[in-house]
Amino acid sequence: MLEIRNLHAEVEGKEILKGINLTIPDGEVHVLMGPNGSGKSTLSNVLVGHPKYTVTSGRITFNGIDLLSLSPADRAHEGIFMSFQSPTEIPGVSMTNFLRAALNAKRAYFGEPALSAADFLKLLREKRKLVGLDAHFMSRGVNEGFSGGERKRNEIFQMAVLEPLFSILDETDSGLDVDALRIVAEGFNTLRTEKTSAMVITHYQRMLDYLKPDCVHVLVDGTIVKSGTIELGYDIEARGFDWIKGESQTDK
Amino acid sequence: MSSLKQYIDLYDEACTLVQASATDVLNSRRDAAYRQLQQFDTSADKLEAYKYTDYQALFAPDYGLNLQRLSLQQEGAHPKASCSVAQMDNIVVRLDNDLPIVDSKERERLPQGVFVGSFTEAAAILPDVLRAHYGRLADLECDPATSLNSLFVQEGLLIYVPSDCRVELPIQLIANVHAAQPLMCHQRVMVVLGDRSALTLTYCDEKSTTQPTMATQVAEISVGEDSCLQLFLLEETEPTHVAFHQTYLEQGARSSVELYDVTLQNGHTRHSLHSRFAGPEGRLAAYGAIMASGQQHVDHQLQINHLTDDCRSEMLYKYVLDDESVGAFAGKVWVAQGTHRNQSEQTNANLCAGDKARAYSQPMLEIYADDVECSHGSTVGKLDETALFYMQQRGIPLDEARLLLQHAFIGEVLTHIPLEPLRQRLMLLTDLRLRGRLEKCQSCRVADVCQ
Ligand SMILES: Nc1ncnc2c1ncn2[C@@H]1O[C@H](COP(=O)(O)OP(=O)(O)OP(=O)(O)O)[C@@H](O)[C@H]1O
Ligand SMILES: [Mg+2]
Repeated sequence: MLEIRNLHAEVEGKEILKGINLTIPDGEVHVLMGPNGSGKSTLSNVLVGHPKYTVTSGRITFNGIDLLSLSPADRAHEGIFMSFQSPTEIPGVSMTNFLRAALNAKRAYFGEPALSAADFLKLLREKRKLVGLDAHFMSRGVNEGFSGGERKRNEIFQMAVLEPLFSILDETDSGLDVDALRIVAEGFNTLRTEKTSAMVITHYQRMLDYLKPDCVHVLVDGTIVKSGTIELGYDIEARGFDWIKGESQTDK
Repeated sequence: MSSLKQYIDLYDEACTLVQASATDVLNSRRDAAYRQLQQFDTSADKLEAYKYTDYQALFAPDYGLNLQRLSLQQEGAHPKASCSVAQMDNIVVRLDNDLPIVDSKERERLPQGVFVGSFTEAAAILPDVLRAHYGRLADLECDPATSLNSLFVQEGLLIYVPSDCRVELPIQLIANVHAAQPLMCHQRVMVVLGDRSALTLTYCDEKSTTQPTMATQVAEISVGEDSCLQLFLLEETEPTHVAFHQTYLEQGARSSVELYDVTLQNGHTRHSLHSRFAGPEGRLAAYGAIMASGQQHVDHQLQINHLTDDCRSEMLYKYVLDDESVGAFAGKVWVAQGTHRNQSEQTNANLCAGDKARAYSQPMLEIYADDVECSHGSTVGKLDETALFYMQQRGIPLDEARLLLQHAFIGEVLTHIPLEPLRQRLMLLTDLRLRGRLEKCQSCRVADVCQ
């Protein structure tokens, strides 16, 4: 279970998150919506420990662990994964070497021996199938020369390999064509268990259709102004954000 | 007074001793070297080629010279030499400080007509080759280290491949510096390749002492027409070592030379390459992969002279500089007047992984002909923060992430190495080097790695 309490965070001296409260129990998928610049990616980056983002107050606990006290790599080992909004290129570091390093680091963290070469390759093969990623991507540099859609697909592939407990999907749907979106969403659904949970950031209804989230939250100007069921998501698709902003203004 | 003075004085005192044990051809250049060294000593001019290496400071310490040619052999002086490149059959030759050692077993594996041995032996067997090539390419005037080497050198190694001879097995030359006291040694190598011949030479610089040492190395290499040379220079010494490598290269028509220069571990190293195309349609590709950390200093000075038509030179030198290390690259391509269709491409890229590391880059073109195709570029960068974070998010610890980026950066150079086993081994050694694990497996690191 992920619990965020009264979280304030800033980037380059500017406060972006202004008191976030959010609980995501195991087994659930929560969707986070909100206008551009409202702080969705900032919240994601804070969760994974990006050094540019400073938490000024508040707490994040994940399965009882104080997440903010862990290094980014240790957070990953504890099961936090983020599918980046703009996945970066790492020329010269092959996908295979990259994933081997990631997997073995996690195994080392839990005192397990490194995977054998055969087991590792078998794992890659299985997971590639899940998201329909061709074998030749494995010998290429991480995201090197990948198209926008291929990068997004690659994010979910990595998620499949690393089997995180809590996943953040930051606009993984944008840039994917209709078929790719279906494959990726179905892949994501296959990976769901009662122990896993996710925070999915999206601007589009199609993602709601595929994922059937348990909750939808709306983030405006660094605070969650409204939470509801999937219906709230559909309302936003139909009516935009202004009516919610209006509501929250009157609340205040 | 410059720090060269002590060597001039030493020579004044010991010239009889220096000359006594050396073969005639070595003695024939000493007067010229002496005069040249005196000039360097008294001249106040700064040498452009030593912009990034303070040779005065490096020559200042009081090293001993083994002029009496005592055996400095120590117990276990060749721990590394016993294990050559993994899965690669090599003919192994050693330089024991400056003394060539060629096993008779190894010698038997050489093709007919190929000579690998000391200058002293060569003086009896191939006197004309020795006389014709000694000091022919090594220009005394430009370089105090070459002058010093020519003044004190007492023995050398000749590798001679006659025309129409392809040496299939690579020759691995292991130059090992060892001493029980601070030592300066002068190593001399001559490679003469006839026409239509081929040779692969791996030149490994090693050191098996923690005493302060300095080695000057002068290599004169002439490659005949239609011949191929692959030359690997691998330095794996340690912080108390100072190396002046002077490589002089001349290529005949339609010849091809590939040079791979890898610095795994060193102290202060200055490499200079002077090359010239003496006949048309020659090709030279020079690659450098340099890894430095701590206080290490690696300085490359390359000068490629295009003197005839239709020659092509390529240079790709990459440096990974950690901690407070210093990397310098100066590449000069010179295209002579009246020549045609010469091509040259020069790239130097530096990755400053440490905040205090410094990179100096100075690619240069000097072109006196009209129809040339020359380009050069240089970059100095830091580790990509976004990539580092991406990797950490996937669980890769920061140190490992840094290492992967550095390895990827250097790896681009190594991919050009055509010999598969050597490429694999260098990739592995690079990985160990960047992990700081090279020093730990002292006795036989290759065996350790091969398990
Ligand atoms: N690294 C950064 N440096 C400077 N400003 C930043 C940085 N990251 C975020 N911001 C600023 O913080 C605010 C919130 O940005 P964030 O990326 O979290 O928005 P978002 O809700 O993800 O928007 P979008 O829907 O467009 O992806 C913006 O004003 C943005 O410019
Ligand atoms: Mg965003």
